[in-house]
Amino acid sequence: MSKIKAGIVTFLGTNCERDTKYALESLGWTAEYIWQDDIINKQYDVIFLPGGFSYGDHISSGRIAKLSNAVKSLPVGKTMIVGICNGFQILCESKLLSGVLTHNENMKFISKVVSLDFFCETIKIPIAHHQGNFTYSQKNGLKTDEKIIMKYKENVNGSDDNIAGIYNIKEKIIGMMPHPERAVFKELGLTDGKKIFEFIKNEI
Amino acid sequence: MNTKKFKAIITVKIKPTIKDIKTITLKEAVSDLLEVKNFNCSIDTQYNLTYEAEDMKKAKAIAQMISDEILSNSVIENYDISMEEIHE
Repeated sequence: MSKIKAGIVTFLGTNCERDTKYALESLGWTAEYIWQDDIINKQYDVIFLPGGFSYGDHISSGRIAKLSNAVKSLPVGKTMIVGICNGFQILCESKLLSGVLTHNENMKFISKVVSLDFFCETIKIPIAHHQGNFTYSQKNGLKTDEKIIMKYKENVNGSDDNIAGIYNIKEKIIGMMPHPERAVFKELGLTDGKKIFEFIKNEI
Repeated sequence: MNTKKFKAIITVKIKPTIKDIKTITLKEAVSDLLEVKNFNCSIDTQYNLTYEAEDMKKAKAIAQMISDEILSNSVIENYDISMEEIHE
C-alpha cells in the first residue's frame, strides 16, 4: 500500500501542527500543511485540524476559524477529517459534528494525562484545554451516524456522558479532545497515541 | 446607493437547559455570602455594533448573520437583538 497522505490545516494560533506532522511521519505517513486561507482542492487520504488556539480562542474556541476558506472547503464525505482539541472545537462550531466544547466545569485550563475508554481498552493520552466540556443539545443529542469512540474514565471537565471523542461514520469525521500526537514517541513516555492513529488508518 | 447608519445591541445568553458554572457560582455566592433572598441571575454577553445598511430590515439581517456566525452557538446559546437607526 502506498503511503497515507495527510493534510494538516494550520490557522493563526495553531501550535500542534509540527507535533502532528512528526507523529504521522514516524508512522510512515506523509504530511503537508494547508494554510487557513487556502481552498482545499488537492487530494488527501486524511485531513487533520490540529490543536492550538486558532484566532486566540476569541469569542469562543473555533468560532472564527470555522469561517476560513480551508474549513469551508473541507471535502466532507469524500476524505477522512480528524479534529484534535482545537480542531474538534472547530468541527463542532462548524456543525460538522454535533455538540459544542464549552468551558471546563472547574473553569480552569487542564493539562494532564488522562485514562480513556477506547474500544474496550484503556489508553493514556494527554489533554490540554480550557474548553473541553463536551455539551450536546439535550433535545437532539448525537446524530444517527455519530458514535462515541472515546470516553474519559474520570470526568475531568464536565463533559456530557464523559465524552472525549466522537465519530461520524457516514461522513468520516472524527473529533477528539485528547492529543494522540503527544503520545507517539517513547521518549515522551506515552505511546498509546499510535492506537488512535492506527484506528484512523483503518477507517480511511 | 444611499445607506443609513445603524446600531445593534446583541445580547448572548446561555440557554436555561445548559449548566452555566459562572451563573451558579454568582447565585450561590450572593445567596449564601451576602444573604440576599430569592436571588436569581444570568450572566450574559453584550455586543454593541455600528454599521451601515440600506434600511432597517437589511440592518437587522446583518445583525442576525453576525450573531449566528460568530457571536453565538445555537447548541448552548440564545440571543436578542435591539436595533436603532443613528441620526448624526
